[in-house]
Amino acid sequence: MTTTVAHNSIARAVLAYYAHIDRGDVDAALTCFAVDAIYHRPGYEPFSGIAAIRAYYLDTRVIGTGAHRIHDVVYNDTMVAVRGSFCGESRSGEPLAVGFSDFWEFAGDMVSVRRTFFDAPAV
Amino acid sequence: VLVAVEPEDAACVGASLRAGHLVSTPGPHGTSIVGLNCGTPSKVAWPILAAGLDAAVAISGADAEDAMRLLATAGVVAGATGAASAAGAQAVLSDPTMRRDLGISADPTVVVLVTEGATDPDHYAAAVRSPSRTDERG
Repeated sequence: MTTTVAHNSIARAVLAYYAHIDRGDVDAALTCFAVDAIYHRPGYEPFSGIAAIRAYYLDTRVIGTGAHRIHDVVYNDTMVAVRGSFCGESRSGEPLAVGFSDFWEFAGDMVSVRRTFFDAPAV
Repeated sequence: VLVAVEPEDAACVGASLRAGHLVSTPGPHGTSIVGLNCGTPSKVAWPILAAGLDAAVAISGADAEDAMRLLATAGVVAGATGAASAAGAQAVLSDPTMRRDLGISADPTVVVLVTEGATDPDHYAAAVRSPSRTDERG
């Protein structure tokens, strides 16, 4: 008999982020971010600090509503990588569908750096 | 606390949780727990397992048969696959380190899902008639 405790708390935190953000609960979604976290998102200068990240979600984010589907996740002690797709609507009602990958770096149990990539043509 | 139970011969979920990514366990997968005899976790289920499971337990066929007998005494007819959940619960509850790591209290409420009856009547009859390993050890 072999028992394995799942040391997956950071993967759990990342998957919870998507569930929270899809419900529109920005505050709950950002609980896993460190105060000095940095978020790299294509098309924007890096958002530095939790206040800037929160302002992005509340004021700037193109997405209005929608849902993430997670197709794959890989994790180790300090990093989580996710591949998924998003389907929803922009704040102005335009349909949105995009594939994405997200790389989450943790310092302890808090996100220190997040880097998002999309499969939509940009250049 | 959510615990996955799988056969020792095909303990791919525990291996994947340890690795942090999908892992296949090499065959042959000859377990008598035939309904769980799969050496690769579902790719679709993996993100849910990776974020949802607290632990995984790999059990032997003998562990499953012990659980079949235990469930039979409670009036529950379960094959080896159906009884695997009870075997896993016994494994976790009898492991002090596991209990501590998972934060299981001294008087926990345990739910096991039994999703298979006596689908192999001959195996079921033989297993339930056999003395438990605890009995054999006196």
